[in-house]
Amino acid sequence: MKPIKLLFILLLLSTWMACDKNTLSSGDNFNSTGQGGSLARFTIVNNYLYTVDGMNLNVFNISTPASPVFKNKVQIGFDIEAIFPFNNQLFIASNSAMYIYNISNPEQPVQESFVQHLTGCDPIVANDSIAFLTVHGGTRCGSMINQLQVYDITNITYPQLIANIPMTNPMGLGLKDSVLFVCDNGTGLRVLNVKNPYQIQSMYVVSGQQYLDVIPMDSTMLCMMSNGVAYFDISNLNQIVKIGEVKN
Amino acid sequence: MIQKKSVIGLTAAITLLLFGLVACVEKTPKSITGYAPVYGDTATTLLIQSEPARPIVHGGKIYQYQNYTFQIENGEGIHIINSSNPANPQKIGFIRVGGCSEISIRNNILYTDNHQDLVAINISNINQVSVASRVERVFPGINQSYPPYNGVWFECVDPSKGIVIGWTEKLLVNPKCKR
Repeated sequence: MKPIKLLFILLLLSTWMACDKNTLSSGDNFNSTGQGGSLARFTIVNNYLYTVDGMNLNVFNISTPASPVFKNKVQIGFDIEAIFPFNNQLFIASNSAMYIYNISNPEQPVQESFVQHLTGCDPIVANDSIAFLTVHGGTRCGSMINQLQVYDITNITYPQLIANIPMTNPMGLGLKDSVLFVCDNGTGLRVLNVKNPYQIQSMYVVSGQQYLDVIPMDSTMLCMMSNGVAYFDISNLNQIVKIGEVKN
Repeated sequence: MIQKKSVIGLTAAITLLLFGLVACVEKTPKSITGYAPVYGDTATTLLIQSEPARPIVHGGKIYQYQNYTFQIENGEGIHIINSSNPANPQKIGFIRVGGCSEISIRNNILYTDNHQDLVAINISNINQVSVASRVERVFPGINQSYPPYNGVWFECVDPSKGIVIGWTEKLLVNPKCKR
């Protein structure tokens, strides 16, 4: 496994909207899209598949899903780790920065802003006003910083860092309503109340198993393990309960 | 005085030459531990097919689509899990996709990376998937020219042997390539 430093930006509403969209479209054969985690490097927005690799953002038209057509390649930066869509934006996380691209013209992504941070890699999630991002120190990124960073993105061209919360070794993260889940290896699955992003409160920690990423859905949450998947009932956010797993 | 200067110049030149020689010697070790490319033939690396469920060993990213959870087996393929009852999820099969690490799904078409290619896989029949289309060479995949380490010797790549699917440590004799 590559040593990873993680950068996660979690946009509040987006997760909610993604869930909502999935629910609405689940019975619609013409528009049924799945849901990925915060570590994803592929994402689907409307009729386009966006992918990031080491340096680039690729755009594929999937109006005819069985026949994707390559449309564009945009150079972003170095060590691109993850991509997260919200509204007309793509949040792209690299080793050292968060980039925000506008995709109003879906085949011509345009950079709206970027925030450089000391280190960090990986996934992103966001809403209209707040982005959460984890920074994970490690050999590859050459840093010892482990934290959850919170950005006010009300003005998308000037993201403002509003909070730094120390973590042990954070990886993927996910948002459900006003609750943020952070996979913090060495500590556990952190459950945080982020209703007021300026005053984030720790609710509790689920320990005992190392999770690398999460996908919160309506009443179930998937947790990625290096040898399987765990399922939690999250209908009561004050006390999520593990109900099943596939392992080995 | 002039003579002395030339002597100094000559000495310097010789010294530099010697350094150069030493440097040359250092740069071409007779044998050293380095890296060698692992080749995959086209038939194997591009083969995509349904296979029986198998152990999750190097579990990668996860994805939920309708009643199924998918987990990447890094570099090898995609596990299919029936999660209609999340209290009792069951592995039901595996899709072989060499070099894969990513997944996204719309309308029963699964997109993933097969080394350098983007592939669209039809999963309408989850037990018998089929490749719908392929967009060639859009991803970097494994670097085809050198190993992912700096300051190392390696066996030069011979593209006629196939696509590079990995790099392995090897005792190299008279290596010619260095990064």
